[in-house]
Amino acid sequence: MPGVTMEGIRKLFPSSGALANDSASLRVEDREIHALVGENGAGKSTLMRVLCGLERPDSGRVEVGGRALRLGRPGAAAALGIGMVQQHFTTIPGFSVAENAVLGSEPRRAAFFLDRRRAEAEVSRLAEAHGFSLPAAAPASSLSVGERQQLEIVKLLYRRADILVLDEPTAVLAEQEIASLFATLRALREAGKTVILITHKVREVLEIADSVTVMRRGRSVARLASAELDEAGLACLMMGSSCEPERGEGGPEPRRRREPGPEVFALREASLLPRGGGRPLLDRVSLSVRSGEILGVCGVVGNGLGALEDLASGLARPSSGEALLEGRPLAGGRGPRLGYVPADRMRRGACLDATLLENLVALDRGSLFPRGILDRAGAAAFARAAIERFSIAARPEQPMSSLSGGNVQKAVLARELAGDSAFILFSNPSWGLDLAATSFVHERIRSAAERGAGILLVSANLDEVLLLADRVCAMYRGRIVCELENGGASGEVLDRALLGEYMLGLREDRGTAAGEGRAHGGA
Amino acid sequence: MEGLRKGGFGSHLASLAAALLASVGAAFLLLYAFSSSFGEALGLFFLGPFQNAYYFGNMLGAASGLALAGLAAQFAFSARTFNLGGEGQLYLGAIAATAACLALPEESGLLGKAIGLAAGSAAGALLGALSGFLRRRLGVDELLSSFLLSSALVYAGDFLVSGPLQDPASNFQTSPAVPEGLRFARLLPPSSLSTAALLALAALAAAWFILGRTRFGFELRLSGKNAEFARYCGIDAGRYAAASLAISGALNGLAGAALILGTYNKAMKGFSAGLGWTGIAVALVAGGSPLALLPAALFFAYLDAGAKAVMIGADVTSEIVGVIQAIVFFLVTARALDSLVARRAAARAGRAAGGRG
Repeated sequence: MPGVTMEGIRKLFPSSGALANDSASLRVEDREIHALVGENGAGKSTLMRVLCGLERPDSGRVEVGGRALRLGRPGAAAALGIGMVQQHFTTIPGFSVAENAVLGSEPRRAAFFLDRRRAEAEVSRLAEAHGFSLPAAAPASSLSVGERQQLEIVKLLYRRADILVLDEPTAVLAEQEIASLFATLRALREAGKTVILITHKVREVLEIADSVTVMRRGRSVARLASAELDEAGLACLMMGSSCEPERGEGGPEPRRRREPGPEVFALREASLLPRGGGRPLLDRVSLSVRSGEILGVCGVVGNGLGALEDLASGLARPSSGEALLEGRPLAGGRGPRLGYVPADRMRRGACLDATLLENLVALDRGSLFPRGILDRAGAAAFARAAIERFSIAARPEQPMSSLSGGNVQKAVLARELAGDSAFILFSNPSWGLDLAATSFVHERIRSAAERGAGILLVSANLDEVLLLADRVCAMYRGRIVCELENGGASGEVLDRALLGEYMLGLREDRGTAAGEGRAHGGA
Repeated sequence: MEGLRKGGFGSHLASLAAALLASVGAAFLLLYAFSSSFGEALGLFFLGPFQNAYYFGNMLGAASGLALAGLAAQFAFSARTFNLGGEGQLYLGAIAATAACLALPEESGLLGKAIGLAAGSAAGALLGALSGFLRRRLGVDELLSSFLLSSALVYAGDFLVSGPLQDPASNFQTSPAVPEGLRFARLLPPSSLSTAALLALAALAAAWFILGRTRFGFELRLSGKNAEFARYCGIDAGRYAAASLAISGALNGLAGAALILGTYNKAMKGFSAGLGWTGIAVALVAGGSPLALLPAALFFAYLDAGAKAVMIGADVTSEIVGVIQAIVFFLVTARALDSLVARRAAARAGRAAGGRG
């Protein structure tokens, strides 16, 4: 008997225009550990939120244990035994482990008072039965991250969940904690539970999962037993590479090479440490971007791409090492010489509370506020030109929050490409865009490079990097593990499978140090 | 959610109108229940402020103080900071202005007035800036620091007025009066309306220009609307938050100084009578625009004047008048808060939905 069947799930977020699920399907057998894998934005989390009743899909049907699930109702999903551990934990620090676990369905005395003793006994019993070492009376604030995750699982078990969904559970864990989580998951399977694991870590999938569903661009593209898979094959499926050419006939065309100009941006041995201490987010990264070239940096999410984005944009200062824009340290606020299209275009890249005009002029304040006072005619002309050039379907005085997601993205591009930036940073520029908009953005990136700007393209999307970049670096655990020419003299596009291995940490160039030496030499 | 987002200024006005109607109704009911001469009380409450030039002038005089205190609160709101220290800033600003003017010769005229106003603004600005500094350097919530600092320093003000600045010739806790030549000219004597009203109008116009038309104002508003976006555009959002608190304090200090030079002429213990708080209410009613502070301040002054007229002219006790004022105040600010909250929630929801895509 199948545990969970989802069919034809479609979910569109109207405010951003993102089609998160597009007739996605999922089949999970009873008592198995099933991995749901895919790149960021492939629609995994949305599909699971649909299963848990947190999102109501536009269409589709879900069956659990042979019974149809009423969609969009968290209560209905819980009644059929579905529970989810979110990526961000929902424990209350001041409450004890037991209080947290029973919160919402507490054992009571005299119908009113919390029966703390019974709660603690019950939670201790559950924890012990599943091999957790959770002190039921201890405050949740005293728990480690791994223990808080265990508490989240106990919470679900207390509510008699039979189907446990875990969203990226290993993202926050150290190696040893991952091993113990996996032991727990196996024990849960033995105890008759079904586990669905959202992840994008290939190695973990092969280690823990019985079967795998691969999602790409909102669709389920494959369902396989993990015994049939190897790492390279799964990576290839996830990244949507040669298995299924995505862009036109014969896949992407390599870029024509130009002779790059002088260096416009460089990182020299730059490290970034996390606020509370721990493993560095970026570990002695060196790279150099020259005028007219596109340097692509790819990596799996969680390996330092976000930190690289913050550092290269000047939003974060390196803990050690240097970030140089045209030879001078990047310090203080960003000026018009640095263009930056952030990955988070809705919050960081736009101010939804302000008007479109205010968003468009926000970077060029120096020239639009001569002597500190707004040049109204100049700003209006500037906005009109940007709206026309990027065909943004909105009026300048319209509030940004009333624009569609696609138009917000265009407005961000229009602002960042308006000036004559020496260096432009793009982070995941095609996230949330459909194919037409993606090729529009790619065209703009190419033409900016042809104009002579140095481009740093940070992207989790390997196809995009291979399509656009002259050189490609891969990041793994905060370090650059390779630097390779793309479409060089021979005109050959880099091998995806090879890059995939670098991105997954299966391979590392000792020769990267030589590449760094070259960068220094060029400076 | 869509509906909320569409409602902007229009729904703000509609909700205000509803609150005003409800409060008029409440005033009707209470006056009817507690006054033996209902018609007379009602007439005095609503028309009293217009019955002679004295009442009318007093109303306009009070409105100019409310406009300045409201502007102080609103300037902080523009950067999404909260200055709850208006009362202390206003009081110390008034005392600083008094002290400065007492030290100046009578003939210093216009320059002397300017020095008095500057002293008051500086005292308020210092207090506001201290909250700004604590927020920027130590992450202290300005809501707490401004309130606590102000509450404590009110007692320092009381000490100054009843100690070093005490008028030896008076039995009250008050300073001597500032020299005649340094006072603002009265426009409708003997009412309290003075040229300080023109100062308030000028301040509103200046704030409107600075917030709407200058780079400083633009960057300050962006910092308040979305600090991450501001930082992304190379704006030091934290500095603007601190600056907004200092300017807010300066405006409260200016309001205090203007009260001294225009209305009271001397600093008395506790003379500000909650103006720093009422300013926040005025700002909430006015919403985001400095020009909207003018009708909002006039409305609050009108309520107050009506209440005074009914107290003097009819058999309604000051307690009942106080209750009516409180109800009106509550309804109006609750409605204003409501729409403020709705707008912020809509913006947040928009961001959350967008972030997921």
